[in-house]
Amino acid sequence: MKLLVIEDHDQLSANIRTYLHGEGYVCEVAGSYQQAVEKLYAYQYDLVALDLMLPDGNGLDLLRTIKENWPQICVLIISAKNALDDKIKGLDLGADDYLAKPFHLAELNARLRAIFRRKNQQGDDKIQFEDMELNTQTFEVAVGGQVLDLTRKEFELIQYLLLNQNRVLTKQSIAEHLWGDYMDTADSFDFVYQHIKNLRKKVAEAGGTDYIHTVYGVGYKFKKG
Amino acid sequence: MKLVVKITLYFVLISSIVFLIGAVFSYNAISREIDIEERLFLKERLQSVVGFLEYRNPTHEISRDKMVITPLDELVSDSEIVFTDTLVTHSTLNRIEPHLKLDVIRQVNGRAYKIMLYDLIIEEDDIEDAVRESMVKTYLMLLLVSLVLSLIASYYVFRPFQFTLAAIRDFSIKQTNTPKLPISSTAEFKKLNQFIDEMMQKAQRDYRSLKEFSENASHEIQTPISIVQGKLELLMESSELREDQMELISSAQNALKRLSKMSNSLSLLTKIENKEFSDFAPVNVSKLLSELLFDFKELIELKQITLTIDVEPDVEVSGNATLLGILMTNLLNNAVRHNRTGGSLRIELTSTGLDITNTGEPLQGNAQDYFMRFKKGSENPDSSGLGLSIVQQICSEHQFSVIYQTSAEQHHLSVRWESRN
Repeated sequence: MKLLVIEDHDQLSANIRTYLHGEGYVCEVAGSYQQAVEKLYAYQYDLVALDLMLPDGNGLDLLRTIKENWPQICVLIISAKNALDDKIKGLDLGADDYLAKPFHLAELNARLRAIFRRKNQQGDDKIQFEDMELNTQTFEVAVGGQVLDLTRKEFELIQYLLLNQNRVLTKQSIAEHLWGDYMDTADSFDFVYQHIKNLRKKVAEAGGTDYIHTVYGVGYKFKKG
Repeated sequence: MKLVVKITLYFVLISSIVFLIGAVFSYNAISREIDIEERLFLKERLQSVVGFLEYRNPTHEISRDKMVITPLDELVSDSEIVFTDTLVTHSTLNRIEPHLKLDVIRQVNGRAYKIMLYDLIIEEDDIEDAVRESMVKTYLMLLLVSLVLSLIASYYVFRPFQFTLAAIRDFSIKQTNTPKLPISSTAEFKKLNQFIDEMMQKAQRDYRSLKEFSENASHEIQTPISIVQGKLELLMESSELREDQMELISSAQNALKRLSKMSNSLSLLTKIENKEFSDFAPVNVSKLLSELLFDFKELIELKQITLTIDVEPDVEVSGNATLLGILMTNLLNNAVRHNRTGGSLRIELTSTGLDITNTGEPLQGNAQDYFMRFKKGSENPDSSGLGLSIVQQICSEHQFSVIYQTSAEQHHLSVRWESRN
């Protein structure tokens, strides 16, 4: 997957690049409108993470250009302009998703994966991890061939963990992924814990391995062994 | 009182004083002129009397109407003409009338005569009557003229002013273009329009820059938060970290999240205050509430809250859909967040209002105080203390009334779609 991060804050794009490195992304950075256009013409990308506020131009204009010339590119808007207007305008112009700053890098990763998979239906709407298989089309999880009876939130939770495997996911990050901004921190701890508990139970009942590791006081990590 | 009416009144008042003084002047002038004319007339008559004496040389007194000639025994030299006012019986009117009397001694053909001539004086009150009549008539004419003039003034002269007033009334600070003011040939209105134009432009400029500032401030703060957030996440990736170190990072992230939320809430408050959500339309709040409740359903279940819903279908409220959504989200959020595990929540939506009753910790202090910014229960360090401020701001924007009441563990928040006052 080739990703172009169009973001004028070096530190932020550095964060994204570092985090996504080793996740199967080839990540490049453009710090300005001009630079972004040059790169888009010179190389091919699958994904674009686009900041709407650029020093030398409007991100929405750039979005228009991308959708006109390279309609196959998936665009995720990352913007601090949490104005509903921009969000609607961006999605209307053909952006695939919208992520408001500040965001968790794990969330960014999950969203990029999701829109990429949605766009490129090449039969791989299945995510495999050891004996576990996620079907993003049917929202089903099978362990050793046996399909688990999961709620939608439980599916989203396991997908989020799986997409960010081998990383520590804080309860806050998980809660935000599942419930958006509705939740406050104090409650989210309990709720995330409850969901994880249920999930573990269901996996265990199907005879699967528990890949969810608890990081005490912080969150969870999905990994083998 | 209209300016034209006011000016006309002042004008009428001042002109009446002028007319009074003018009446005195004209009275004096007229009586003076008459006096001079009468004296001239008596002098002319004296001439003809002298001519008569030269011709007749009378030796006895001649007494006729308005004339007495007495021959004198001694030869007295000519005297000066003396005019006096006197009262004489008028021969035809048969009553005493004021007369002007001419007294003189003249020598005619070697004999001295005492000559007395009379003439009826035009009475003072006659002049007074005449002056009064003419003044009153002129004054009435002036009244009529000024009335017509004021009508013309209000229609034509003040027309640009009326346009300016209309432009000011329709002026909105949010517009990007200033209203076009009429071009007036009146110097004062020209100046006024110029001032108003400058003022409107400045107001809009200031409003825009303030708006930009608050938006930019919120935006600029999110980016560094985003950077720190990412750095902390990357730091967490380091394999050498102990769990207690990770915990430190995690709590730093939580604080960052609060900062970000607070900034967003403040920016939202500013936007509502700046009337950026003023596009009102009928909103089906029943549908909106059901959608939101779907999102909250899981949270409510997880907290084992007993939910009672009594929603009248298709309740329509005129308002901004975004704001109404935020209003209900904040209320539901509070009702769930500050609820206790195993508590209860009752939501009632009718065409008159929305009532949310929930269990929760008793409040410290006055419930209404919780609408103030940053006022919150001390046991809740995670809440921003802005949620109810936003609720109140949205309510005042829509002219809803909102009341928060508590009794022991019951919290009741009531929003009335129609304001009571």
